[in-house]
Amino acid sequence: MCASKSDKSFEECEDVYGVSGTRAAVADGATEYFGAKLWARALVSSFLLGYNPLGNVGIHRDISRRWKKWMEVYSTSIQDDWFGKEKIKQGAAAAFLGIELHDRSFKAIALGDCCFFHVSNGETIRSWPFHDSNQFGSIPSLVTTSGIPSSYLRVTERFEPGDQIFLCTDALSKWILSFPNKNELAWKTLSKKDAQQNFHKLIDDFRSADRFRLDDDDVTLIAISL
Amino acid sequence: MTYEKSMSSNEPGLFVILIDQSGSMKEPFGSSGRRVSKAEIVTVNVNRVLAELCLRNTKDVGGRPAVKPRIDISAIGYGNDERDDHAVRPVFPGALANKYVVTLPELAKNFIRLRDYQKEGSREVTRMPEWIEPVSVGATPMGTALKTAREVVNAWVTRHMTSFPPIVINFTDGAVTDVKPEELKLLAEQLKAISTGDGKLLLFNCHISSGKGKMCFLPANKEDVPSEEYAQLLFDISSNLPSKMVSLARGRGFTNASEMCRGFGYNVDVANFVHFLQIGTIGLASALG
Repeated sequence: MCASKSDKSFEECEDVYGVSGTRAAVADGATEYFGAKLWARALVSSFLLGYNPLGNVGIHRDISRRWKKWMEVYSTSIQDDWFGKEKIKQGAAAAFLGIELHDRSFKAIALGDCCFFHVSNGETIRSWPFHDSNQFGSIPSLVTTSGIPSSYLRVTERFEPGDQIFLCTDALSKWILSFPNKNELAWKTLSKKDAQQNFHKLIDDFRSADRFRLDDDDVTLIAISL
Repeated sequence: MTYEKSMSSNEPGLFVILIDQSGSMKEPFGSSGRRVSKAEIVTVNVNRVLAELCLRNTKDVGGRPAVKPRIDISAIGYGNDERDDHAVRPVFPGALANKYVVTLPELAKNFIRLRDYQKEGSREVTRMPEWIEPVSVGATPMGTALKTAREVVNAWVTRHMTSFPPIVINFTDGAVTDVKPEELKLLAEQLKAISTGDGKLLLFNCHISSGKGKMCFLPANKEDVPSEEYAQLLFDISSNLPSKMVSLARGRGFTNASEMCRGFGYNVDVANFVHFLQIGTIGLASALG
């Protein structure tokens, strides 16, 4: 499920998500950069193909070269736009979270402020890599086109049948973590039968709520039932 | 809560940069032995700030880069010219000539040239756009500059009542010549009385160094300000720093910065002049999101 910031069209949403086989990923292009969504897509695609774009130097170099090539071609169409061309030279960056399911566990890799939530019986068992809504807001480390990250986060998590995993970009993660009691009320709301059909309405409601207000930013959620 | 509003395309902020263009601005900046004039250093750095603001606000809009109009800019010079004993004028050139307030997209499309710059101590050369030229001739009609700023800001505020309050940053190297101190105070108070829903206008004053005298930077107490009447006057008319700017100042190493501090500097050297300019413009715009 995906919803863009209220003053943007759906196409302008910088979040990217994907699922393939036993892998799922979300990525959030940093809006300070031009072409960040394309970069986020490149990260997600390469992960879903079975690669690790955060840890494999060759893969990272390959996708960032392709991104730069695409941008070079694009730059020729904006000849008179000095600032546009300068912006493109700055490269792109994105937050990334990918998981791979195994028999009774999953492995996750991440850099930035996208989070997974391991939920059982409507309660958060674990949120990762952030566990507190106050952790959002400061500038996170991101995956950039300029070079492979010097480090990134990895974790393995065991699960039981019936559990759920939610992959979320930052605004939704921060919102979920603002709820007390293991984020009970957030899961009650997001797990409703019609949540998927009514996702945009739900998000609009959260954005205008008096309490537990959702920040006005792009929102993406992948829900996996185990 | 005041001074919290983000700068956005729907509710842009306003930076008004007042630049002393009097004759003494052709003298070297400070006593470091550098032969670059105060006018050149001020204009180079104001141009850099303008370029940085345009670049930071260039975003991906529907798959194309576009400069978002999140901040409006006014750049006003005050000095002499042959026609008028005391002259105050907007300093943008070319297509923007005579415009007191421009949007970032207008600015981005209308620089007058690209110039190669070599950063001090580095071999790296970067190309940067320029808008403003150094000018240094005549007296210091700061009173008229404040009056003009008030007119410009009043007109802008009627269209932007919910925006972050306007920021006026005044760079000068010498004493005001067109009004007496008491009148300058009154003009400053009238300017600072202008407000939006997010608070009152902020007026900051940075007196740049001729090489003599002790430097005073972001003082909290009048006792820390040099005893010259002019220093005391500029301190009196400067606004306190809002909390977001206090954090920025601390982040740049001014660990004693607090909300008791005024946005004021006296006999400021080049490095601190750059800090002052950037904290009040790029830094603040970024901090507000």
